[in-house]
Amino acid sequence: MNAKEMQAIMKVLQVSQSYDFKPKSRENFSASAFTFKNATASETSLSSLEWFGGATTKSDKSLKNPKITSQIPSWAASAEVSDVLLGSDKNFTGSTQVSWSGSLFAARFAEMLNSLGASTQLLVSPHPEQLEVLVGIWQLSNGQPFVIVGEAWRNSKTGKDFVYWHFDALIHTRHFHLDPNPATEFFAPYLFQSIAFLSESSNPDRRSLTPTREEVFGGDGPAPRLVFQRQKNHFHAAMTVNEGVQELWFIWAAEAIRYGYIFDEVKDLAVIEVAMATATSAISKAADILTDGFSNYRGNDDSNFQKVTFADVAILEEGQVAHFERGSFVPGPLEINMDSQSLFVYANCQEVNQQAMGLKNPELLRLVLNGYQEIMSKGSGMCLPHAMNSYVYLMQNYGGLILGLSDEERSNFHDYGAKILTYVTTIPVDLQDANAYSNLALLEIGRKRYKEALDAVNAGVAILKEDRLHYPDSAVGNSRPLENPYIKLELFSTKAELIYRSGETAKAKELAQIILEEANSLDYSGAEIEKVKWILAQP
Amino acid sequence: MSTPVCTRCQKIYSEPNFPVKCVNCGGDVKALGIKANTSAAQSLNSNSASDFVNRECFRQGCHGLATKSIKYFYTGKEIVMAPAPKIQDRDAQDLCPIHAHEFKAPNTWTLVQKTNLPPTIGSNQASTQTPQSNSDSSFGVIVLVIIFFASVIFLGWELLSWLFSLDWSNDGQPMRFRIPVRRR
Repeated sequence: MNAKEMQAIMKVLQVSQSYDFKPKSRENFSASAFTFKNATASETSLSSLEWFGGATTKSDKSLKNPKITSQIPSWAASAEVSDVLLGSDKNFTGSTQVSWSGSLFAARFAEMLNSLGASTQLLVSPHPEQLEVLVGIWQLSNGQPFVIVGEAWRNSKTGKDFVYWHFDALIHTRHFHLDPNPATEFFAPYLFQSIAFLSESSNPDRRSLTPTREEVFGGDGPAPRLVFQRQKNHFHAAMTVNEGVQELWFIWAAEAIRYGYIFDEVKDLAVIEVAMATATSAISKAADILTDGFSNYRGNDDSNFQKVTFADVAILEEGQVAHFERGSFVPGPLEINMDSQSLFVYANCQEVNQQAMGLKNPELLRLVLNGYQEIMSKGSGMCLPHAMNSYVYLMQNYGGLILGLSDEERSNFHDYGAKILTYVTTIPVDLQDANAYSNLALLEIGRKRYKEALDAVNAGVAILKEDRLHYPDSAVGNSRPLENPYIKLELFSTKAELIYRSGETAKAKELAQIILEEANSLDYSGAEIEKVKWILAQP
Repeated sequence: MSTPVCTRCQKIYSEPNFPVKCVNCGGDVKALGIKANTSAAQSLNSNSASDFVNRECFRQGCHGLATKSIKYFYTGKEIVMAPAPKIQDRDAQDLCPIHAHEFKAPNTWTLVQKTNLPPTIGSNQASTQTPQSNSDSSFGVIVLVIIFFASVIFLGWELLSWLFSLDWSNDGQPMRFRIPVRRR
């Protein structure tokens, strides 16, 4: 392979994080009204404080963690947020989510939306509660579809219902590392405050404060509460359009910050009719502003979208945490696009890997490993844990055989590989966490740490016993144990090996026999089955 | 082919100024010479002592010892880069490993990697080569040149032999022109 061929392959194994977006005018406002530049302007911040009113808090008062306060840039030191927007998820305290169709108010809310021209449908959310939610499709100014979700909640004390009408504003591609996190605690609300002002105001071009927020939302009562909520291991609703066919997906996201409006139960929905229309329109405008920020503010200055949102990639230096644990923020409406780019690279890796295995070609294999590393560093979505497991598996099994790594070089990889797998064990996608425990057990056996290997096996088996049938399928796998027999068989064959190593031959053979029978019944063969056959052949 | 690779995680660094320690895993980054089509990788450290020649880099102010030479072939707009020959080629420029790695062909020109610098006389041949051709094609060019010169010498010798074999005497007859005849 020459350098040109190599570069051509490397090119298709690179993850791009770009999105082409040009702000357009909406509802007769100028194209610059709903832009990131306008949202981050100091004049907008000041006007937005007045828009929401009430007491305010500055960043140094809000953020107590010394690790965070030492890293706050000068522009953010004077940041000030209205108290109604800080810790707004307390609005859910004392309430539980209920099925949409189980709430009369929610059902009437949906009817009203439909009468306003919206097209919505009921879906069962893949989250553990498996409750019905209302979903509707709206568009960014460039036509890109995104999903607005309605959830019905019931206050345990009063028995009154409310609707949380929201979208996933920001997706963080990895789990947050700082707790409390500066983004969720302060800087996302700070940015959202300005975004909400521009998207709600009757004249964002002039940053008009009149009519007031209450008047914009109808003036017949208090305006709906603007609420942000952090969700870990969130299944984010996204829409794809392929050859005119719309398809709704729930895709895993490490962290999400939801942005939306709480509508309290009212007897006469006509009172909130204007508020519903204003809120829905405001959400689309907010989505436009975030998309503009992500797409067009990528420089090294203070206007960088990742810096403004306080993503891990901006606040944690290289080396502070592993490269595969430093996440960045992606606006929810674009998450499916970014995930697709990772998926494209993953599919290419699989294809090149087949060639590498067939030819036993070290150069091709090294390119595949680099493709997986690209996904690990910059990628997102449900192929992330697959790429991480595949990377470690290839290094473990073919590092010596094809790459020609020495024993020393292979043992140098163990710590790094174990860190990757440990991270994957926190990602509940397609049983890849159980698969990671299985790979981790094999890695621990490789460095003769048998107790740790057994712990990993047991943790993996425990995951297989969980009920995950309601978890959504990804484009590259699913969470059904019967359709992923290799994970279970590998875990148990490793367990049999560990028992055999401990000297309990009879017990190991007993387990090996069960594994072999199950493999035969599934007509399954693989390296792990050869292992149990070997155990059974021992005296 | 020499490629900087992390010896721990196998990350490939395509940029010219690659770090000493891998940004991903902290492993050592080394330039590996990778042999293609082998069943097991046989990586070699590039720039071994034998690669250097006792000449300095052509770049102004650089005193690094050269490992590569480049030669411009204007007809095909090609620049051939090859290991620096032990005997200096007057038409080539020598480059140290750093400047060779950084070297990029100007717009509309193509950089061609070869195992030997072709002679200047073979510029037309160089321009018809595909980029990154291997040593076999360079060898073929040399063989063609040798065959060409051998053919010219052989035909010249045959022509001279034939001319010398002719009878050029005019036997005392006044003639402006006479066709020579073969001697018996």
